[in-house]
Amino acid sequence: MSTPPPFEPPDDADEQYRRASELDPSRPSEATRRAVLDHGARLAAERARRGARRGWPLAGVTLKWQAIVGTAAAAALAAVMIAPQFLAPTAPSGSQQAPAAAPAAKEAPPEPAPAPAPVESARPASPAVNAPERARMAPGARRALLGESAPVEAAPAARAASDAVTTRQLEQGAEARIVDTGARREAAPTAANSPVAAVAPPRSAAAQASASADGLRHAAAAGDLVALKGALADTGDVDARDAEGRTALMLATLNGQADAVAVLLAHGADPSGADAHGTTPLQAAVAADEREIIAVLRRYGAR
Amino acid sequence: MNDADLSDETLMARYARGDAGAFTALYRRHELRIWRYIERNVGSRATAEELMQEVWFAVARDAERYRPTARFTTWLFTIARNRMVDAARASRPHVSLDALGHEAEPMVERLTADPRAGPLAAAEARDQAVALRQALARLPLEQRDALLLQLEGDLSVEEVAAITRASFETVKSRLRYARTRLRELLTEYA
Repeated sequence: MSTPPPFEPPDDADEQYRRASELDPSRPSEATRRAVLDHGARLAAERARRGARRGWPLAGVTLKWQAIVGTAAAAALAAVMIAPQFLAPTAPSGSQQAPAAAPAAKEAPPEPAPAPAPVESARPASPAVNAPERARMAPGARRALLGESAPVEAAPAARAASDAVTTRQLEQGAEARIVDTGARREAAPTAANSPVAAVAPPRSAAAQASASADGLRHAAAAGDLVALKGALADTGDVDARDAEGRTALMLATLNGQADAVAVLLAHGADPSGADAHGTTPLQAAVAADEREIIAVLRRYGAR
Repeated sequence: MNDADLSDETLMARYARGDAGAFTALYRRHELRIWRYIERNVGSRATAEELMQEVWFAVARDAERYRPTARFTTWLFTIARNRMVDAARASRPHVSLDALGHEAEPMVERLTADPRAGPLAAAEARDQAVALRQALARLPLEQRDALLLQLEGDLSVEEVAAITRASFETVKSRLRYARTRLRELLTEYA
C-alpha cells in the first residue's frame, strides 16, 4: 500500500514554469545583495565579539590556574635547591618513597603538587645523615613545602597574576562597552566622570557648536523631546555626525525613539543619511523591526 | 567540510555563533528563490528590492532565536510572506503590492489587463520569462501565492497551508486551479 504524495505530482505546468523561470534574468540588484551581506556580516561580528567576551572569564580562570601552578612549581624547585642546606637531618621512613619522586623533582613539572605527605615525614629525625641520604630526603622536603609553605609563598604572586588578568578583563570589557555605545562614550567624560566640567572655562565657538551637536545627538538617543527641541534651536546642523558618522536621526532610530525621529525629520533631518558603515536609518529601523519608525521614515522618502 | 555541503539549519546555527560565512552561504543558496517569490507576487522590482532586504535583515536579526523545529525554508518563506503582508497593510505610497490583501490587484495584473501592453505585447516579445510573469499576474492572488510557495520554496501542501493559514484542502484546490490556469495562459502566450 503506497501513501499518497504530499502534493500534486509535478505536471507540465510545473515544467513550463521552471523552463520559463530559467530564462528569467531578473535578480536582486548588487546594492541589495551587498546591503544584506554587509548587514549579516556586521551582526556576525557583534555576535562573535559577544561570544568572545563571554569566553574571557573562562580564559581568566585558566590563566589564573596556570599562574598558581607555575608559581608553586617554581617555589618548589627553589625549595628543593635550598631546603637541603637548612634541613640537614633526614626523614626516616618517609624517605623510602623519595627515589621514586626524585626524577619528578628534577623535571619540575608544572602540574598540581602531589598529595601532601604527612607533615611528620618532613620533620628532622636524625642528625646523622650523609650526603646521599640528604639528597634522597630532599623530595620529601619538597613535598612538605609544596603541601604547606609553597602555596603560602605562591599566593601573592598568583594573586597578582590573577589581578592582572582581572584588570585586563575589566579594561577590555570597558573598551568594548565604549565601542558598543558611542553615545555613552561621549557622555561619560563630561557628565559622569568629570567634576571639572562644571567649572570649565568658556569654550570656542567651534567647541560650543560641537557641544550643541553632541547635545542634539544625546537628546535624540534618549528621546528627550524637550532637550531635543532646545538643541535643535541651538545647533545649525541637524545632521551633524559623531565619530562613527551617525546623525541624531540615526541615533534616535537605533534607540527606538520614534517621537524623536519624527521631530528630527520635521526639522529637516536627512532621512537617508548613512553612517560610516553605509547603513541608513531606514535599514537600521528595518533591522531592529521598528515599524513605527519605518513608517515615519518612509513618509519622508527614506531609502 | 565546505559551507555548501552543510544543511541550512547547520548554517543558521553557525551564523548565530558569529560565522559570517554561514550567512553568506545561506543567502547565496536561497537568494533567487526568495527573490522570485517576492518579485512575482508584488510585481514591482523596487518593492521587491526593499522586501528582499527586510526579509534577510530579519533572518540575520532572529538567527539566535531560530530553532530548527521546522525546515529553514519554511521559516524563510514565512518571513517573506509576512513581510509582503506587512507592506500591503502599511500602504506604502510607492508600493504596488496590495497583493495578498484580497482586494486590490497588483501592478503587473493592472498592466497586463491593459490591452496595449497585455498578452499581445508578450507574444510579440516572444519572451517566455515575460509570458510567465504575465501569466502569474493573472492568477488570483491566493492561487499565485500558493503556487509560488510550492514551486519556489519547494514546500509541501501542508507547509503551504501552515504558512498561508488555510486548510489543507483549500490549498490543494488553489494549487490545482493555479496549475490549470497557468497551463492555459502559457499556452495562450506561446
